[in-house]
This record gives sequence, C-alpha cells and structure tokens, in this order.
Amino acid sequence: MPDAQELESYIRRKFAENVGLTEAELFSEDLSLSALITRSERMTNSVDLMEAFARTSNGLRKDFGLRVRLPALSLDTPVSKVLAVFMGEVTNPERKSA
Amino acid sequence: MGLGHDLQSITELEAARALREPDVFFTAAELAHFERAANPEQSLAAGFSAKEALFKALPAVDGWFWTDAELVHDARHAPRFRFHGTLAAHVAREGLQVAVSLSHSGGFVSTVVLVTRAPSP
Repeated sequence: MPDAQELESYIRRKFAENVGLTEAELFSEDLSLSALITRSERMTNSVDLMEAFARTSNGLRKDFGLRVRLPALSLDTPVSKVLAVFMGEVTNPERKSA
Repeated sequence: MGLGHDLQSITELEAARALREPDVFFTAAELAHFERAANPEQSLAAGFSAKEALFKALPAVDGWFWTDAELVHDARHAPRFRFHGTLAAHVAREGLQVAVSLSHSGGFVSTVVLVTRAPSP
C-alpha cells in the first residue's frame, strides 16, 4: 500500500489529467471549481467536473483498492479542499474496498 | 425554507461513464434503479439533476457526499430522498423535510427540491 505522500501525488496527477490542466495550473493558484471549469477546454459544466473527479476515484479503486465518494461542494470551493477530502477518504481504513 | 431547481440535458450524461461506478456519486441501489427504468439514460440524468437541485435547496452543510442523498421511489414511483451519514444527521437535527419533483421532456430533465422545517410537535 502506498503511503499518504504517494497517494496525494497520484491524486494530484489524476486530477490534472482528468480536467485537462497541468498540476501547476491547478494547485499553484488553488483554483476554485468554477475557475477550473472556465480554464479547462474539456469542461463546460458540473457533469464534466463530477465525471473528472469520478475518474480519479475509479483510478484509486482500480490501482489501490481504495474507495472514494465524491463530496458535495459548492463551485467556489478551492481544489485543495477537494484534494483534502479525497485524502481523508483514502486514509480512512473503513473506506477500503471489500 | 430552501428551494432548488435544476435543468439537465440527458445527452450530457451519456458520455459520463465514470459516474456509473457504485458508491462514487450514486449508490448501487440508485444505479440499479436507473438500469431497470424504461429509459435508463433519462433516469440517470434525473438522478443527477435531483442531487444538484437538492444541493441548491439545502443550507450550507459541510462534509456530506453525493451518495448521502439517495434518490428512491415509493410504490407509486414518486421520488424522495433517503439520507445517510453526515447529511442524515443534519436533516434529523434540524428537523428538515425534503420534497422532490421530477419532470422530463424534449431531451431534458427538470427537478425541483423544496426543503422546509418540520412543524414542531
């Protein structure tokens, strides 16, 4: 099982891949979810945003056997908060897949 | 009182494959219901729309997940929410009642959610 730092690195990378921005673009400015939708050429609405986060969640399940539920967050939420929720999910031992 | 409305294109959900994994955005029971529906894509879009409308209707509640708001249907197929986890605790603590209405036409699903306080006994 990877440690927390490896998992955080994985989630950051997958977030960036799935929204179509670089990690630097996403996290150096700590973009809000609405700004993320505006900046990304791949996304136009909340369906695209949820799909991108769901892809990251599914990757965690497939690659590490970890289950992550998607948080209900407003569009002014910074992406660092989403990362923190994902980290809370993957470091919670009760959230491991059966 | 809180009121939320959402209008969702059914087509927009068709390409969303990752959202169909159980216990990520939808519960396994919700996904099974969508699959059994006469029009599964329309039913999936309705599920997404209902959660978005609920989010708009609720006062800010920190720390809940989309799977905490499970869309279920009664014997007459009328939709309602069954709450879990943090959201269930909040709804019970605040004495909230949540009503949901779904409609679809012309490739769109429209949802209205009304949140009210239950009358004191």
